[in-house]
Amino acid sequence: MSAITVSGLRKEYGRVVAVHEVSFSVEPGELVALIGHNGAGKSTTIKMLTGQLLPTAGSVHLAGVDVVKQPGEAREKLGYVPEDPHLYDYLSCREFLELVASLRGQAEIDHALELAGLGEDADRLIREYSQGMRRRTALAAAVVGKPPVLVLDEALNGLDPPSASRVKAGLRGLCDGGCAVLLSTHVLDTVERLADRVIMLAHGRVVADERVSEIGSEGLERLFLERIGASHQAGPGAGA
Amino acid sequence: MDNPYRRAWARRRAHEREHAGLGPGLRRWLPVLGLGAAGPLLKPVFMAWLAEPAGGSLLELAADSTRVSDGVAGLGLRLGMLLAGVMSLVTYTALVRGPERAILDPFPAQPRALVHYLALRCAWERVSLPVGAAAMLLPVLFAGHPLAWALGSLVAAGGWLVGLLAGFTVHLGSVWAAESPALAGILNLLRGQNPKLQAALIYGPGVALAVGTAAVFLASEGVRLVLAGQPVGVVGLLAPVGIGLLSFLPAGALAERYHFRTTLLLAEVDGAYAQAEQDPEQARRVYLDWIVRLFPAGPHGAFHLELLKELRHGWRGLRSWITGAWGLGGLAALAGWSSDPQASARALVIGAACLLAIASVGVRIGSRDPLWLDQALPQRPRIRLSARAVAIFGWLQPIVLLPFLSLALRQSLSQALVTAGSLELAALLLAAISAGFSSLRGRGWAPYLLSGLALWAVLVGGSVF
Repeated sequence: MSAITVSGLRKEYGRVVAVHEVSFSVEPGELVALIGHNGAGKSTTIKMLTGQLLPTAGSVHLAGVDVVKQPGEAREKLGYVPEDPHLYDYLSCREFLELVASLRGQAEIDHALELAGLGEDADRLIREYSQGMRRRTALAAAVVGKPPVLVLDEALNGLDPPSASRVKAGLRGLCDGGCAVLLSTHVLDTVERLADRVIMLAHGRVVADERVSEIGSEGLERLFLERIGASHQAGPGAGA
Repeated sequence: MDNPYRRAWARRRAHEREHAGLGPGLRRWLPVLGLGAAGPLLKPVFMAWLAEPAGGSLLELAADSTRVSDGVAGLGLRLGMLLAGVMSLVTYTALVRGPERAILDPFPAQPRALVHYLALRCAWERVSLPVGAAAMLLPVLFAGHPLAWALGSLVAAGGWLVGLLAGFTVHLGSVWAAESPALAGILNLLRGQNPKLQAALIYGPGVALAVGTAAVFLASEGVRLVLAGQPVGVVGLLAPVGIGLLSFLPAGALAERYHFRTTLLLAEVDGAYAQAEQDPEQARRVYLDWIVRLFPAGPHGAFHLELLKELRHGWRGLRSWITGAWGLGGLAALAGWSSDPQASARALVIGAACLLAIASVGVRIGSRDPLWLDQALPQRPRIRLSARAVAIFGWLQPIVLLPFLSLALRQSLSQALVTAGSLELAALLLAAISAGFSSLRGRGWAPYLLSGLALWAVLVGGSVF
């Protein structure tokens, strides 16, 4: 059973179609990058995938659980870091993670603190954190309880190089443990270093779904420019 | 049973006390001071029956007792309705559009525990309201009617309780109603320029207020009976507790079903508004947008742009408060719907209090303005604050219009004009004060409340004495 199964996902806002019949799957232990130009439909896809937005058509299953029909159960399978995470300012990171652990029926949070590199600052209030530390707190909260699916929406933005490096190593470690990771990003370098597979979206359609090892380091940028650039020139109808 | 949300809330409160000092805690009790200070001012209008001297004969004593009983029952009813309305808006904010949804939504939930925690938090944060109502009724106690004072306070607290407890069930039920095919026709009729899904959420607080009104009416009838020496009145007095608890019973099950569904519904509503913004014509269509045409455009159309921006921000971010002006205007109209000579003074006192509540949207908008935007972009503070004052003034109009109609029908046109004129003046000043203090962001609350209460006291004092 795939960790993430997206079938014929479509989102319409009146006459505007933000996502056209997107389908893909992510297997346990796989780290997949979702890339695309601004307005390609990445965030809309991720919101539908994480139960924040109702699809007009199609379905999303996380570890076999339908996200729309069983939203509570789906969240038990999911760790999600939104692009702009919201946190309780008057809790410390440790207390916030303890709350999340309680909601997941778990008690252990040390691995999450370690992955986010927040051990020394874990008892400071979140209101005193920098933007990068807030993002790492959200990441730590997402991995509490080791859910089988992790979805990160631009979650590596704003991290300093040591933190980014630690997080990347942590994500790889989670994949080695069987977690499926879907990472939305603009940074091709991150995709090359981290991802097993890349899915490219343009104008709400999947225009490429390739293994990174088969593309090569220079190939990714070329592929991006070819598929997404061509789609840009051709307009919203491209990639059909 | 251990409730993780409550545990985290206790920790947050402890940290906030530690870092922010006693300020937030003391601010929570400001309504008690305000309402307590309002009591003597309100006495000539709402407690005129206290001024009547008790007669010596048995018949006169009985008449005196009836007057006090009717007076305190009527006042308790009005206060209870007001508190039920406020609490229905408070629960809406906590459950539906509050900041905690964004924080907690990525994680699994314990919906029943969440609803219990939110109910407790709303009660804790607004416990000053029923205490303030009791403080406002103190003239009854000082006039030598301790039982009447206690019962009147209980009725007001009953409204608060029903608004709190029924609010959760009603708002979660609104999510069901929003998607119910059976109700689609009605919602389409009622929705105005809003998406159909939003219509159910808009009218939720009104339904909670209706439930609260029914419960408070029974309680106020209970006051009459108890003061007349009939113990059966206790049943009526306890009605808000019974109705409140009964209405809260389904909240847990509804939360299990609709807690996450609410997130999806809100995203659909926001999506529909965003879609409207794609169309330049549709983008202008918010409540009262037409008033822009009544004003000069200003240099480079700046005033029109700022006014439209304020109308949009207010309507999209604080819609419950803005539509709430119609509900509160109805309340002030009800206060004036009587042939009693005190009716217009009553409408004025309630109307001015409602204006004070709704005009706070200016300070609310100010506290939400992103600081970085102010720092990054060239500012036109005078134009912006003027536009904000105009928008607030427009939003306040139902609280002037509805009492005017009520008084014109039940009293006289001249009475209606005098009262509406006073309310209009209060609306103008409160809009200016709220817009002015909105530039202080979160720090604008205390000066707004203090100057608003002072204005209210002057207005009420001037009209009553």
